[in-house]
Amino acid sequence: MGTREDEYDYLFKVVLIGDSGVGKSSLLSRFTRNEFNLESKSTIGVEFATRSIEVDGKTIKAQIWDTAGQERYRAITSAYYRGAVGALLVYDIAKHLSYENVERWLRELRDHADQNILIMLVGNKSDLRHLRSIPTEEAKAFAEKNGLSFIETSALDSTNVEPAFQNILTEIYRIVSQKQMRDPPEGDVIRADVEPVDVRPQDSRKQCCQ
Amino acid sequence: MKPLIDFDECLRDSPKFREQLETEEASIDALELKLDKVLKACCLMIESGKTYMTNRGAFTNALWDLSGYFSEDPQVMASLNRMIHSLQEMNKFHSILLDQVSRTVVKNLTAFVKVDIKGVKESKHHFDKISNDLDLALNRNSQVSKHKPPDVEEAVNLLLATRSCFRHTALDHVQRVTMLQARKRHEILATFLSYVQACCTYYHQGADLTEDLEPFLKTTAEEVTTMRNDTKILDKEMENRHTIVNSRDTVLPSCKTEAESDSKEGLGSPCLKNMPRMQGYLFKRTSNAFKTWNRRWFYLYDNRLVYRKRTGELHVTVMEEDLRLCTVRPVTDGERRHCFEVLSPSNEYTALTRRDPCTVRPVTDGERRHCFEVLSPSNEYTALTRRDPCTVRPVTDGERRHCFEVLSPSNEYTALTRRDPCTVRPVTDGERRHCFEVLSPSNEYTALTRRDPCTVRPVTDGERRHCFEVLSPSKSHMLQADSDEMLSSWVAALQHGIRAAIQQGRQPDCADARTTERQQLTHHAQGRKLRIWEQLLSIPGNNTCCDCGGANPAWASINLGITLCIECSGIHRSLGVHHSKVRSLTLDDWEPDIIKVMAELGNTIVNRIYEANAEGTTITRATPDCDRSVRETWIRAKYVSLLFVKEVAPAEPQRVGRRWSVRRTRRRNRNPSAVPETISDHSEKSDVNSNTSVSESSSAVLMIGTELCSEREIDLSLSSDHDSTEGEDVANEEEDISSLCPQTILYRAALAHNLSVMTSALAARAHVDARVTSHRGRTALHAAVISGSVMACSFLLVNGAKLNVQDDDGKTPLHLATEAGHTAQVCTTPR
Repeated sequence: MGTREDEYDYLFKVVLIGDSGVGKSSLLSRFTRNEFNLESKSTIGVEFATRSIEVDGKTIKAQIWDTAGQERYRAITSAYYRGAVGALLVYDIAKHLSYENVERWLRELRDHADQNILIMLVGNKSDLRHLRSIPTEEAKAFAEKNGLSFIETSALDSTNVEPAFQNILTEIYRIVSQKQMRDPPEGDVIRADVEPVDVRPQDSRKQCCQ
Repeated sequence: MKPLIDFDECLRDSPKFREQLETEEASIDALELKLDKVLKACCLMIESGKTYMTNRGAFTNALWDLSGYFSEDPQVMASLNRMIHSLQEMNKFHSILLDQVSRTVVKNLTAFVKVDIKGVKESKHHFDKISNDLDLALNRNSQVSKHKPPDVEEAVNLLLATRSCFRHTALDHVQRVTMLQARKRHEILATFLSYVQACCTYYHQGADLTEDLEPFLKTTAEEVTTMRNDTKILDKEMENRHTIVNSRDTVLPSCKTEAESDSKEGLGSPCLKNMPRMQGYLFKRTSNAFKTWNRRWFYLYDNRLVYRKRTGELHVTVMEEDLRLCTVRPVTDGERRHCFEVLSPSNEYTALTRRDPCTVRPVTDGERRHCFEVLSPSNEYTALTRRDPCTVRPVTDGERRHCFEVLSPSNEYTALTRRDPCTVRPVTDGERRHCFEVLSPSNEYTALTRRDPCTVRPVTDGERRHCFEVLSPSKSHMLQADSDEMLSSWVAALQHGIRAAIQQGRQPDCADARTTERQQLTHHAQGRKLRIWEQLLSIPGNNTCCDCGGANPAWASINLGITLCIECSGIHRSLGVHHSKVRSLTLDDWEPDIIKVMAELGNTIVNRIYEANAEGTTITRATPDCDRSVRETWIRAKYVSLLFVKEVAPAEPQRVGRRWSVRRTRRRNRNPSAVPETISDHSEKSDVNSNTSVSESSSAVLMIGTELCSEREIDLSLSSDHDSTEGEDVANEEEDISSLCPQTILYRAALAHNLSVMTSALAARAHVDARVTSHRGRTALHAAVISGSVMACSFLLVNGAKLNVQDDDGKTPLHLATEAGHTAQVCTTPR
């Protein structure tokens, strides 16, 4: 990672969650390294990778944590949710159980992650059209119902991978930058209207007595 | 700046790392504790500051209230308001400071504790948890049997995953701790920097305000000094306050000044109509059954006597509506001292008893006969009395004898009509002149008459001193002053007030006279007084003093019918009222009937009687500038010793069968154009021997009084005797000469209402109350009543005739008058 990687405006922590084998690590490698390996091993514990993108002329550094989907690592992985501002909840469009477990993962997020975390429902393996068991519409409707954004991707043929990350990061950026507009960043503790601590004898009184 | 904990140590999870971590965490705990303490203290400070501000606000509000109290005093109010404004400004500054403290210190520190330190705590919690997990994983990994490859693999995987997680978490935790430790320095400093800056602003604002206020404070301080000096001066001035108590012990200042001004301005100028003439406290006896004594503030105001309580009610109670109708006298016969009474007649009575400038004239155009009118300048008075036709008639159907009735349309009046045997006698020792008393055995009657202003009766109630009574027929007010001085002040003031009111009523205040009739009456009353004394002086001989001949006599003796100079009037006064009743021509009020008496007599006629034999006397005749002793000797010889009076009856024996009579006077002053009558009177007079009391004319009848006849025109605005004496001619019988003596002459003269002859009879030592046996034991007053002449009655009364002499029938003159329906006489005689 060169110097260019160190110069960023925002650092967003995003987690990838979902059942084991739905393609989380594949999505991550496709997005960060543009690689795809059909024979990938299941993740042990947590891995993470970063990639910077540009939004509105700002450099946004995404720190994407790829968690193990296996049940036995659940306790460990949940430790990583802390501080995450976005989550990609991934399921396999050809594996119905992974879709059914989406609710469980949502609960997991509610329990361990920040309240305001932005969640995107990602239906992966869209290339397996012939094996599709969850219709796009159904998943879309579910996402809307639960206030999630939704996209179908294919790490294999790279369909929608870039937009998926772009969308969530842009969304996060919007929220954060808006929040910053409302509440100035920490450190600027004194609000503008309390500012007249700068004492000038001539007009200080007028400033104070509004 | 380096991180506090080496990342390598952290990844190795070495004891050093743990040690460092613990140190930092302990440091953070300590910081949290201290910040909590600061926050608590700060919040407490702000709370109490807010309470203080609330109380300060209440304080300034109270000050506003106080300033409102000074709304009458603009100087104090302006300064106060300015200061309160400044205080409010200061309050504002203080509120801002408190707000700043709350925004800087509290908010920042709370955020620091709640977010940053709490974040570290959370991260430590996770770190501990994952540390435990790692320990577990390590143990499992160590315990796994090497004969079970799948277990080994799983344990290794878990260990790997956990360790990696632990390492991430540990690094996170280290980062958090490091960041907190780094940030605490500037966070805390910045917080308190802004707090101190806010304080500075506060004091700067205060300094500016002080600068602005300085000139104002200076002037206010000067004002305060001035006020303080003023107070000191005032205190000095009031140092002598206790001496006032001694100097003004008895009489209130207001009384004094009022009395002084009263005496200065005199009674004739009641110009201060709306100024209280006299005011002060008096005890007033309630008119209810309890007769309690209450202290009230009295004052004479606008011709009224009013009073009010010391506190409480604002309105005043009018005790006497019109002082003109009142008289006042000290009450000395009660138990209380310093009492006086104010007497006021009721409206009905006024007509009968007032001696104020009233004119009485008969009313002939009403339905009833024998009515009369009392005319007075005061409107109220006139209105009520002018048309109150009263008739007097004897009452014969009752059980008691000698009763009479006064009939009048008004109910109150009938109170007088009680059928009790009453005796009437004149009262001369009261404040008022011409008063009379009606005495009757019945209580109600005396109660009524006692309250009559003209009745003098002792006030017997109470043990109080300084009392006086304000009496009117309808009301009775017993009042008590604090002392004799106050009593006399009050009595004097009330008398002055009454007299001033009466005099004011006589002023030409005819602006409110409504009808022309009233206007005429008022004008009539106006001119009357001047004309009366002018015309009294125009009577023959009256322009010089009757006794010494001095010019411009201003005094008169009403029973003698003469005018006097002031020196001679003094001698006359010393003779006593049974010899001469002296009055001022100009200062006194003159009743119509007295004027008639005066008009009938005069100096010339009287001197013809009293100086008939004065020629050649040894006594030195009084002259205008003679010695007082000479004057007194002459006057005493003339009126007391009667040395110069000629015998009324001739001394030589009279021819038997000769008859005599007294010439009746005729006066028609109301129609001065009646010349023929006058001429005939004159011709009649010329027929008579001019200088003898006994006519020697050829007629068989000796006519007495012709030479004393005073037939002349006097243009006095008096009601004529004609109306009351009409129809009497039939009764003019003649007397046998044998009965000729002063007593019978007086009687006959009274019957003929010939005042000249009556005077000569009295001068001839006829007793005024002597009963004439040949005439049913009647007195001259009886005769005068029978004649119907008010003038004759008046003459006899002023010469001391008694009212209560009964004739053979047991009748008093008053009874005769009522029998005859001579209302005017009934009203006049008791006066």
